[in-house]
Amino acid sequence: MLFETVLPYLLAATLLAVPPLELPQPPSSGSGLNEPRNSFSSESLQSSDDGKHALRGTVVNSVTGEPIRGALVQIYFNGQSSMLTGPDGKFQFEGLPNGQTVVRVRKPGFFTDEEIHSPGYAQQMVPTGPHSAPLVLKLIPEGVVYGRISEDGGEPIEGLPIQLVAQRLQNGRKVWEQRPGTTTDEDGAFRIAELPPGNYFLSAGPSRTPVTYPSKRSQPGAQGIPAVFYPSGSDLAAAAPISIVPGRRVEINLTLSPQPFYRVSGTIGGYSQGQSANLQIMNSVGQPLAYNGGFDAASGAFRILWIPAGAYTLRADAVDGQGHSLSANLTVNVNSDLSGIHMVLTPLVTVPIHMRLISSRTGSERFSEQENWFPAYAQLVSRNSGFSEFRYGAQQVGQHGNSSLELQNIRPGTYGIEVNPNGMFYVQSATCGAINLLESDLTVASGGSVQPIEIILRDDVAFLSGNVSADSHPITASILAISEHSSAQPIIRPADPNGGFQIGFLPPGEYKVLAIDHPDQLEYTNPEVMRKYLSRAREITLSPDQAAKIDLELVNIGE
Amino acid sequence: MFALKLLPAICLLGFFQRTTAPPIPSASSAKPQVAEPSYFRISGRVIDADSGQPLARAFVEINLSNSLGPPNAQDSARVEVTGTDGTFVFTDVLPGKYVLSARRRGYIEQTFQQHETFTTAIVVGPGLDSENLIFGLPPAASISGNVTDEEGDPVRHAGVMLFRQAFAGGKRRTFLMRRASTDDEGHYHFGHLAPGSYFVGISAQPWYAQHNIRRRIKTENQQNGEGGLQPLEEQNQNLDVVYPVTFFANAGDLASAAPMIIHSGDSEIADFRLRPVPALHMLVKTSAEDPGNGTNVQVAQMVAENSSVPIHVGIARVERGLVEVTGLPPGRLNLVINTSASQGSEWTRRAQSVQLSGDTEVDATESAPSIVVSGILKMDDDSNVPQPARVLLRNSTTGVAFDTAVSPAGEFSFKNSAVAMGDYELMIVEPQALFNKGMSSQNAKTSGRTLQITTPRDVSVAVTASRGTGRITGFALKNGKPASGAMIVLAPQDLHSNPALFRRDQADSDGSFTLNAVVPGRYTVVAIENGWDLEWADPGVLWKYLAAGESMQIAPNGKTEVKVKVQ
Repeated sequence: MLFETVLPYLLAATLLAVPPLELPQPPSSGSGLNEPRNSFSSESLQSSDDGKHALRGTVVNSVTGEPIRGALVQIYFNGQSSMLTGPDGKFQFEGLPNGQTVVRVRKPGFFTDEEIHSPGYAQQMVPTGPHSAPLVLKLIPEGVVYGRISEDGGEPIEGLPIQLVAQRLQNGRKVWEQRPGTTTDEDGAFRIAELPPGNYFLSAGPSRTPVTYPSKRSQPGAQGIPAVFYPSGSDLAAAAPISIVPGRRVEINLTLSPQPFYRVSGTIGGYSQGQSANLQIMNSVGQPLAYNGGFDAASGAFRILWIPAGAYTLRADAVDGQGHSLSANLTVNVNSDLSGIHMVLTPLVTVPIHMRLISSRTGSERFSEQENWFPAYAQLVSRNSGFSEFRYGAQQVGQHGNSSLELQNIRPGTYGIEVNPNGMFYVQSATCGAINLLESDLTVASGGSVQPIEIILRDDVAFLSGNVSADSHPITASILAISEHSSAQPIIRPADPNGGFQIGFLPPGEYKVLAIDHPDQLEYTNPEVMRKYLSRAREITLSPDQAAKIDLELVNIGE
Repeated sequence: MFALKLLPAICLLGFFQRTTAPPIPSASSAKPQVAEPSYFRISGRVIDADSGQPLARAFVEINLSNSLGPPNAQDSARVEVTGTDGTFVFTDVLPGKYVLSARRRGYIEQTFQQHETFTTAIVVGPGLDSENLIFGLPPAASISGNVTDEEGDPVRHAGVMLFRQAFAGGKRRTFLMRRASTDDEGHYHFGHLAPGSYFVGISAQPWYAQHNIRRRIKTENQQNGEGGLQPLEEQNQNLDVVYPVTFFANAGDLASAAPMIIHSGDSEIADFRLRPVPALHMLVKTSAEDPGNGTNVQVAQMVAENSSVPIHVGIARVERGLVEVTGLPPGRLNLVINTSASQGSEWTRRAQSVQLSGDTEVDATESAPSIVVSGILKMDDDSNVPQPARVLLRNSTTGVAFDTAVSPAGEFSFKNSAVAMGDYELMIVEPQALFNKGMSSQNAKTSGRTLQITTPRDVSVAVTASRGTGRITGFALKNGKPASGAMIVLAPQDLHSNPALFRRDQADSDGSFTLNAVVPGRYTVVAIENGWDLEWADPGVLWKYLAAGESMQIAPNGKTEVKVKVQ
């Protein structure tokens, strides 16, 4: 549902000290060799005997530089060897052969550089031998957000949900990443730790039950704690980011006052006898609300009890007797009790996909659907403004040997298409009726139907290769190729440690090509952001089947 | 009556009954011949149950007990806030039966005269007293603390278990009441605690632990390491450590821990300093024919009666028919060993309990495979099984019970339960309107609801279910007058073998009570004043009350009214 977490494993590796000799600078800084390099020659000598070498170093806090006691350091020689650093943050492995190893380090409350930046980097190897240098391994301290929520009079508010959302870059796009939330305790306090550096948005509430009720059932007047985005305001637009730099502990205290809560009721129709429906209510950023009330399948009536004023989306889902998905969506603006809402479930839209692969050799269609193989994987990606991004992948339907592709059960909304070729092809066009899906979004209406999506792929791909350098020295980087078509996704590929790169299967056309050092810190899908870098890009026009070669100078992404 | 609120314990304690709310007493018999509906009042005072001081700003809620279903239940609530003298008044109350609850910051939220999950509901109507109620709330206590490791560093994500020792279901029991997890500072907090006896236990693992394999894996069977970095062997044995489960203060198990006696309003501290001990290793011998296609071992540490904590262990195959399990703590462990004889074949499940104090070997081939009890449940009127439905299999000797879902077609299977030979009861626990009318089986003997498993073969059962549970309504009388608050117990004729047949209630303000979902049979109803600390589940204790109770036969769908003398 959300942005893939940047913490793929606890055992992620950190970047390592650079050996003095052959390996180039690692692409991500943060760990470096800080101790005097000549100190090893006199100290690290165990014996000239192979298998009697040592690997030693210090684990330090990247912010304070202080040594970290009790950090786990692991190396791999014929199995795994682990040790905890001493009180001075130092470790020393003995009896190692001449060779090289990955070194991993971790400690609760700290992140490694790789966990925070790019998990995709290759593991850096550290050599062992008579000349191995002491390592300095840096760990980045976590951030913490904590605080207290109270009512006007100072009474703590207990049980209030607290959510924290991080804004991050993923594949050159801004995405939301929801952190695990919490609820306030009996003193109104909350605490969320283990935060990697970044910008966060905090929201509190709404309370699930009112804090006061009317004393007569017929009277309005239930009040509860509404949803508030820090520092105040009821939606994300009014929110201020909380900046977490490594090791920062941010205290957030909020004083909230009860606001009127309302009831929403109505009926749901369109489901078959003996079936039921599921009703969700989502706030303006697409998060479902926990609510009291429910749906009575026998009468079709639903009630949602006590929600604060605001814009919501009601969504009912059901499955009919034949297994088809039904849905109804309704946007409601709540500022009083609402009753008499009627929602009718309609079947969700299914869109057939037709793919054609044009062979440049023969000019004819190379791919036949009989082969039960498809030249690309197609996905629809929701373009809503909420936190979550929905994706629908194409499904194979029909019998073996006579199958076709469908995008099934698409909810009403606006979507972009992503097509990933399964081979040396590129997407020449993707259309839906008269809509060019490479240029425009696809709108799916409730209960409507959508014409089949036609995707044409070609195999006369172009290739691009070359080398990256900085100040005439080869250096690794990430290669960014931006197509002349503004809608096309920029292509990003890592270069090898020596700066060499190859990008295959490019659609022919004009490109601006850049070598950059920190792709994870650049919103490269945003033309506004890219403007200042594009003047330093190399321009190249690739013709079909061309294999072009260009050399690039590294562009540093500004801090 | 049985209150639908404030029931956190119900899921943990399978032995509470769940009944539907009784219908509102028919107003027609008492209704005066006027067109206007009659209004009444519910009034009283909320006090500190310890000091007797009135409590201002307490929220008192009344809820009509015959709500027609979840969509309306919340909506019928009315709330009053107490004044400085602790008083509350609900005016314009229509006749009916109301559940009262009260909450105030710093106090335990409760229903009126709450005992376990029962309350005295207030019945409102002509000639009924629903005023001047005294509603005592106990001040809330808390237990909190910090968990640190051997270096004094906070232990984060440690599992903290709060056990309570209390009367529940007619027995003094120690049960897992809540779980928490320490935060990044190693801190935990349990609030809203009623006075009583508690235990706190910690289940955590050293974050740095590396559980190495001691036996070298034979290279012929060496698995392909994932990513090429998977260690075959950790070379540093010092990190092969675990934290044993620890109970406050410094006890290795619940039985040897002293209870923390918590009084109203206490804020107790229970800090822990965890000490690592060497992890234990266990060799598990499986069938010699086992080609190693599948052996998995699940380990759970027993921390209390019916409470266990899963332990993450490492498993490595040493050779044909032999695996090494690493990362084990000392203590009583339940092992579930699943083996499959060949690729794609069925798994054989064996369960075993071991007491570990050192490295050990276990021969799984010596323990009998678990017996799978499965079957079909059919309605006696041939209708579909209403959903959701669940059946419970309870060992008559040990009391150990397993439950599983029943499909609409009536199929059920206890395939994930470690069923051994013995005598079992099979009960329908959901929906409560159904009862087990009779069974037949293969590979077991049946009589009534009892299943005798005498051979280690899998058992299939055919259960006939009937909808005809009965209902008993009545009044508790003291000196011939209705009396509120007494514990009502419906006891089956055979007190020993059928704990699932018991039903209970608490007499409401007019002395009325309702016992729902009564399985047809012969029963005695008793009403016991101040009976909530009584070990009524012990037949020897309940026995002496039966003579003054009311005995009756409940027929299928039977509706019975009864008057019972309060003892």
